[in-house]
Amino acid sequence: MQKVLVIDADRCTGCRQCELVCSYEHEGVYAPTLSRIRLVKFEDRCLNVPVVCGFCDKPPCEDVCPTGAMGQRAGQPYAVVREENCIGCKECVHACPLGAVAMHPRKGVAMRCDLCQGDPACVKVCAPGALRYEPLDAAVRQKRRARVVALGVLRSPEEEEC
Amino acid sequence: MKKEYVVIGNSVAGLSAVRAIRAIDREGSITVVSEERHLPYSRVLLTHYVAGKLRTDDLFLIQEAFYQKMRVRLLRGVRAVRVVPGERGVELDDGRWLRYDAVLVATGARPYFPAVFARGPEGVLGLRTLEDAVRIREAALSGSQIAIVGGGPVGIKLACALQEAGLSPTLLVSSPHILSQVADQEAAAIIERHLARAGVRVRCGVNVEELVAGRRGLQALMLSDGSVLACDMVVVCKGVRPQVELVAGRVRVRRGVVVDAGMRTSAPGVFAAGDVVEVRDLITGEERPSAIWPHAAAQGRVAGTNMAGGRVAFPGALQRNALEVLGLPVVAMGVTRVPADPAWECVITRSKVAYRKLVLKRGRLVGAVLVGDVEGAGIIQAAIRRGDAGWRQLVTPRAS
Amino acid sequence: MLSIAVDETRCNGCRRCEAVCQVVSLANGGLALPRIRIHRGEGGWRVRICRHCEQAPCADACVSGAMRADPARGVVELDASRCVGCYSCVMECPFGAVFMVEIEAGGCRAVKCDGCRERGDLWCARYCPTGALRAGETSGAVATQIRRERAWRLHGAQPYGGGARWR
Ligand SMILES: Cc1cc2nc3c(=O)[nH]c(=O)nc-3n(C[C@H](O)[C@H](O)[C@H](O)COP(=O)(O)OP(=O)(O)OC[C@H]3O[C@@H](n4cnc5c(N)ncnc54)[C@H](O)[C@@H]3O)c2cc1C
Repeated sequence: MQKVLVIDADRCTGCRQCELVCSYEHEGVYAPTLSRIRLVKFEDRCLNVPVVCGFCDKPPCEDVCPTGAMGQRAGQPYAVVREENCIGCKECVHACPLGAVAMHPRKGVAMRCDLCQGDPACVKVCAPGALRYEPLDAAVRQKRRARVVALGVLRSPEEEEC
Repeated sequence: MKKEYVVIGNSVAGLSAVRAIRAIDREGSITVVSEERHLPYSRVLLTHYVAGKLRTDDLFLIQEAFYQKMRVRLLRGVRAVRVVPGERGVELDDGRWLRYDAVLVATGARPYFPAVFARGPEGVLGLRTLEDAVRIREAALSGSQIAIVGGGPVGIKLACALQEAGLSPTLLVSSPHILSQVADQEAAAIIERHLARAGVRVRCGVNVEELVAGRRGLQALMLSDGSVLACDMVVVCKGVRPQVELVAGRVRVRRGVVVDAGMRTSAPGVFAAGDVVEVRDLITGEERPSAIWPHAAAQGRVAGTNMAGGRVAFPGALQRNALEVLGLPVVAMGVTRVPADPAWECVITRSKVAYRKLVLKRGRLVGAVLVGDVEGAGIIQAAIRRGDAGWRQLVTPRAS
Repeated sequence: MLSIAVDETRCNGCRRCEAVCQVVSLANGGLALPRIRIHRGEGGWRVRICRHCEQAPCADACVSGAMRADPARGVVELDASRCVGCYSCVMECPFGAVFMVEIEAGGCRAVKCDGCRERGDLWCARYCPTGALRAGETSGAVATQIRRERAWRLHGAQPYGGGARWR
C-alpha cells in the first residue's frame, strides 16, 4: 500500500526538530534554511504548519521544469531533484501549490522533499505526532473519523472519557 | 587543514573550476599552470579577430585582477609534464614539483593534422591559439592566398572571417557537403549557396593529395580531382585531439580522458574537464570527446565543486553548434542525420528565409537543425534534453 | 536571487509589459526594445522573459564573457558591448528569452531582461494587470511568502481534521 506523509497541523508544537533533522539528513548540517520541510507559524492563531511536498500525481513543479530536473531517478523509489540538470530558474518554486519547493541558498538549485527515499527522518523525530508516515488507507480512515467528529455527529472518544 | 588544488590549463574549463572551488573553499591554495603566457582568451572569438572585428584585447575573458581576487597563484608559460597520482604531485617543465590534494586536467585539445600535412612546410597551420590567429591575420593583411581544409564549424567560421577581411578564401571539404558531422545535406546546401553568394569558394569532395613547397614555404596544393590550388597558407581545420600526454598511462584514456559524471578520472584526486575529456552522449549513449565550449564551462564547474568536497554531476553531453555564417544564423543540435529506418522521422518547415528540421526517434525529439531562423532554439534544446513528447507545439508558426 | 514568477495562463496578451520594458530600457540608456516578449502560442499566450537562473546555461555558453551571472545582485547580466552575436545563448535558453536584434547591417547582438537595474522593481511585473508576471526580491522571500499563503489556505482558513478540538 502506498504510504503518505500526513501533516496534522494541530498537533504541531513548532519545535522545528523536523527542519533540523531534514537539513542534517540531506546536507550534513543543522540549518533550517536547508531543510526540505519548513515550518510556518501563525502566532496570532496559535497555529503551526509544517509545509512539505504533497507528492502530487501530476506535479506542477515537474510540468514547468524546463530541464526535467524534477523527477524520478532510475533505481530510486521516490522523486528527487536531479541537481545536475537543475539550472536554478525557480519556475518550480512558483508553480508548487503548496509552497513546498525552495531554492538552496548556496547551490542555487531547487530543494524538494524526497521522503528520504522511503524512510522520512522528520517523522522519526516528530514527538507530538504532527508528522506521520502511514499507509494511505489508514490516513484516509483517520481523517474521515476526524471529520465526522468535527461536524459534530459524534463526540470524540477522548471527550467521552473525561 | 588547507587543501592544495592544482589546475592545469588556464582556459574556460580551468577558469570555471577555479570559480567553483573558491565558492566553496575560501582557505585552500589554488595554483593554475598555464602553458600559454596570455591571460585566458576565447578561442571561439579568434575568427572574429581574423576578420578584423575584434582587437586582441577584446578576446580576453578576464583581467589580471581576477587571480588576486580569487587568491590564485598563476604560473604562466609553464607546462605540466606529467601528473603522478601515486605521489599526488605534478611535474612541471621547469623542474618544479607541485603537490596536490586535488588536481584538474583541463589541457584542452590541439588541432588534428592528417598525414599529408603532418610534417608540412612553412605555411601549414591549424587554428587553436592566439598565435595561430595572429599569423593568419598577418597573412590575410599581406594579401596571401589562404586555403582552408575542413568543412566543420571552425573551417566555415574561418572562411567567413577571411571573406570579411577582404580575401576570397577557398574551403576544401573532403565530404560531399559541408558540416557533414554537424548538419544535414539540405541545411548544408543552403549554407553553401549563402557562402557562394558572399564570395567564399567551397569545393566539396576533394582531398589534399600533396603539398608543393618552394623555397619560401608552401606554394600549392595538389588535389584529389587532379587540380592544383595555388596558395601560400593552408589552415587545417579537421577537428581536434585531446591533449592527454601528461596523464596517459596513469589514468584511463581512450580518445580523451575517461571520466565519471563527477568529472573524476580513474585515479583518486585527479579530475578532468573540457576538451580533454570523453563524455557520454545524452542521446546516443556513446562516449566521445566533448569539444564544445558550454560543456567545458559546465564540466569545469562540476569538477571544481567536487574537488572542493561538493557533490554534483554533469548531466551528459549534447552535441550542439551555433554559427553565424555571414549573417545567416545556424543551429544544429543532437542527432541531425536520420538513418533510413522507420523508427526515425523528420518534421521540416521551410520558408523563403528559413529551414527548420526536428528529428524524432520513436516520437521522441532527439535533434534539430535550424537555418535562417533560430528563434527559440533553446526551447527545442530543452525539449531534446527532457525527452518528452511536447515537441509539437515547437513547430507551430509564431505570430510576432 | 531575483525571482520572476510567470503564469502564462493568466496572460491576456495586453503587452503592457513589452511597452513599459521598452521605456525602461531606453531610460537606462539601452535600445528601445522590449526585453520581454509576448506572443500567441498553441493554447494561449506565451511570455518570454529571463528567469535569471542560478546556474544560467546562457552564461555557461557565452564565448565572449558578455553574459555573466552576478550572484551578488542575483541577476544574469549581459554586457552588450562584449556581445558578438554568435547565437550561443539563444541556443541555450530553455525559455527562449534571449533575443537577437540587428543593430547594424549584418551585425546582431543579444538582448535580454536585465532585472531593471533597480532591483526588486521589475517594471513589467508592476504594470501587469492580470498577475501573469510577479517579481520578488529574493527567491527565499518569495518562497516564504508563497509557503505562508498556501499553508494558511490549506490548514488555517478551513480547520479540519484534528482542528475540531478548537471548536
Ligand atoms: C577557432 C575556434 C572556434 C571555436 N568555436 C566554437 C564555437 O562556436 N562553439 C563552441 O562551443 N566551441 C567552439 N570552439 C571550441 C572551444 O573553444 C573549446 O571547446 C574550448 O576552448 C575548450 O576549453 P578547454 O578549457 O577545455 O581547453 P582549451 O581552451 O583548449 O585550453 C587548454 C589550455 O591548457 C593549456 N595546456 C595544455 N596542455 C598543458 C600543459 N601540459 N601544461 C600547462 N598548460 C597546458 C593550453 O595551452 C590551453 O591554454 C572553437 C574552437 C576554436 C579553436
